[in-house]
Amino acid sequence: MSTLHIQNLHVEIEGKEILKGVDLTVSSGEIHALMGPNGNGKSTLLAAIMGHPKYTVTQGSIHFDDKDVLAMPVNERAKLGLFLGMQYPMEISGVTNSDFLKAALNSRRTTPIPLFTFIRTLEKAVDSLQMKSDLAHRYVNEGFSGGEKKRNEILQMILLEPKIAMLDEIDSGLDVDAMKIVASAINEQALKMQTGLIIVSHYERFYQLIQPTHVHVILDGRIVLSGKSDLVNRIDTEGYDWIAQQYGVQIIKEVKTRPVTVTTLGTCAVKERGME
Amino acid sequence: MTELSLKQGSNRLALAQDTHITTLPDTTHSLVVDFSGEVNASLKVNLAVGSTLDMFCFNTADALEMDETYALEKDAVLNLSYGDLTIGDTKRSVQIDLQGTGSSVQLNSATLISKNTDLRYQFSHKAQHTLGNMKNFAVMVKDGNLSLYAIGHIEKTAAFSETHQSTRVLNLEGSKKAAVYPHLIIDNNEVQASHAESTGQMDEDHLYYLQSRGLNEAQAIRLMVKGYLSSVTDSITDEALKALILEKIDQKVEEIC
Repeated sequence: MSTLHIQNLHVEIEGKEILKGVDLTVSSGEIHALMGPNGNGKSTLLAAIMGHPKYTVTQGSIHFDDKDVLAMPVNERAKLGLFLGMQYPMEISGVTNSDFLKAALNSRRTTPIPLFTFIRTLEKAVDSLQMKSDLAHRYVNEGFSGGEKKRNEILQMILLEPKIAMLDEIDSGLDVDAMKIVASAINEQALKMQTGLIIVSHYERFYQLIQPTHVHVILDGRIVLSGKSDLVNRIDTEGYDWIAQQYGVQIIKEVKTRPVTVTTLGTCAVKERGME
Repeated sequence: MTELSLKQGSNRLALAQDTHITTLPDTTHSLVVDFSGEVNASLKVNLAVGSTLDMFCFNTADALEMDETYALEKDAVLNLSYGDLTIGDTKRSVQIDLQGTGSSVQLNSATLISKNTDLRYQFSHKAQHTLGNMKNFAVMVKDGNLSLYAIGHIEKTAAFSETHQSTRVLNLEGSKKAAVYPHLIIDNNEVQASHAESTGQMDEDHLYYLQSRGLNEAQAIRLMVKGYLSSVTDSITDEALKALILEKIDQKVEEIC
């Protein structure tokens, strides 16, 4: 039995306060749904728990059982049993999934995983998520479709067997069939390992497939309302405005920044003669 | 001067002195050239009409100074890869003359730089419909000092030709200086040309992603450096050779990074 205990968590990014005092306790076997409009702090909470370098915790604490999570580097948090399935998984060119997964598994072991054991474990997980069998030899997420990237996150979760897994919009980019496959893999793992789950999703359908034991609504950097799974249905039909009104909170509207196109091309395509 | 006429299929050579290599017309060859110890030599390669050469230069020399020229006849194809896993000084000048119509070169280099490294890669397009494509990957480790000239020259006689180049330099802690000089010299208007250069630190988000799976910073960096360098083996079809090179890359990266 493990417990993740978050108290009065305040988090800033680039000087702007996003989380303004979050309290949340998640134990083994529980499934917590985290809901709220975009830009109100759901992803920030998960990233801060995992230790993303861009997020600064200014107040509050995170404990995993009796261990002070905030005092640990990212990789130690992972080894402790925390896992974050990311909304936008990184593409890492040149690094094969096989090398990456082996390194991740070996970071938790004193002796390297035997090759045969690794291949067997990987194949089983690939099968359960109905992924392509050439996965091991492909570069990490490079050229993957949105759905494949999300499945790859769950694949890592299955292999790494975390105690508490946080899944950030893991259902976005998945079609209905893929969503079912992924949900059933998550459920199976959660049941087998008694994994505590924190799930961020906007879709009622996903919460039908993975039924939360607790539902929380984050508005303006605070959990303003917690309840049972019926809360999901009410939000699905009525949105968030009633909660904002009832609790006197302002919903933060997400500001979409225009993506800046970065180009590495030099200014000259045609060079004058006369260079050495 | 050692004279060597390549036979069809695989060839292997430990290069220690001046060497002249020729290919057979309309024939496909592969060649692995090993550089070890102290090497100071020249290499001339002539690719006959319609011949293809897949060549991999594997540099584990203590010190290397090479002057290389390649002449490509009509429709000749050269796939040239350099794997520099040396911890010594490296100086290499490579001149590739695309003198036959329709000839083409693909040059890939992966270089781990821990000392003074002086590289010059030049494509000279002399005939029509020639194609040159260059991809350089360099990883700068402690005390590394790099100077790299990447040159694509399309001459007046080389209409309908293409020359492209990209260079990526990754700086790790303690490296000294990386200077990349990309040049495109274009003397004909009916051509295509491009260049792209990037130099920078390890991507913070990539590091975070790997660390969030349990790897510590050093392990994450090593994994990415290996990935960076091993892309040079992408064009190698000989699986045994590929495995050998990847193993050498592994060893060197563990040793140096």
